[in-house]
Amino acid sequence: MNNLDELRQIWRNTDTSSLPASADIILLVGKYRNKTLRKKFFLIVVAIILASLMFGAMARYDSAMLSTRIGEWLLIIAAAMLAWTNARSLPRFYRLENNTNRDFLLFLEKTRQNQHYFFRRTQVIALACCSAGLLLYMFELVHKNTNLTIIVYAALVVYLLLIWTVLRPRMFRKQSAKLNGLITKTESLLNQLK
Amino acid sequence: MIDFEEIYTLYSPQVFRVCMGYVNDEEHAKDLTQETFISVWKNLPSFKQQAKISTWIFRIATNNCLRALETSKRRATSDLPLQVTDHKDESPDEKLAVLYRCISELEEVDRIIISLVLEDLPQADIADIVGISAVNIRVRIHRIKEKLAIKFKQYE
Repeated sequence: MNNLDELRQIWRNTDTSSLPASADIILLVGKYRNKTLRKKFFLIVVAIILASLMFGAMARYDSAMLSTRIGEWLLIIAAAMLAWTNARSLPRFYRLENNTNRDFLLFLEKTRQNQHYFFRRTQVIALACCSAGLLLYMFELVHKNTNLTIIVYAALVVYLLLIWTVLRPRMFRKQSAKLNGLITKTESLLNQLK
Repeated sequence: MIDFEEIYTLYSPQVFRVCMGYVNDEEHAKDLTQETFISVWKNLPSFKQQAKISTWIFRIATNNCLRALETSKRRATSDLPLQVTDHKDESPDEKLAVLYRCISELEEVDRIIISLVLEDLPQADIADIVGISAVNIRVRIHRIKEKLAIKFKQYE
């Protein structure tokens, strides 16, 4: 089995009869794209709706307190960041893999580094804006009733603490480990091309 | 206008074999072949005939293979089913299993290169697909053949 021609002969013995028909592939196209992009589009639409609702609230109700205005703007900034970062990653899904393997791997490496940056920085800033915005926005609504203020703020603080101290660190560890693994793997593949 | 059905009939067995060479797992190779032709179908109208269609398709297929590391972990070599016996009079299926196993033990880029060589692609086209020079490809093929010869001996 050392001769290349002999290897080719063996190689061509591969059974390919179980491959689907071309018509089945065409049927799969729509389903495949929808599945991949559904989550991204959903996040963008939700973020735009949230920002629009907040703009609507700003126009409809003339808030008396500055804290409410600041809260509204912080929530809008958080929603805009969520929409922008997700929209910016969309071309990755539309990009045709018609590059050389080397260019494609460089592109993958860059994408992974961007995602890593998102988890380390952008997500923290967006979440901080959202948390501060929520705390400031709610004050005008509840401040006249002390008991209500205590209950609402206690619930908000517990909720935000849960996000900041349990959910986010857990998600960060998971995503970070996954992304670091992918970056290392991509680097190793790029090294094979040197 | 190039006909998708014609392209699929002509290239899907080749793409499947290249994917098999990369993952050594039939179901995974089928998925990768499917993903490759979904990309081909979607982008066929914008395909400019400045490039060879075979080079274009194999670029998509091999990049899909490289990205496969994101979607699923390749089974560790030690976990691969070894369906071969130790005697020399092997059946064609056994020989094929040994060949795929030996290729799967190579580094990822080497797996792509040797699979394209076995598909009879010219070295210039392989260089164009992988993104390294034709001279480099020639040297790499020589080294891969040596590595494979050592591996084959282990199974003889």
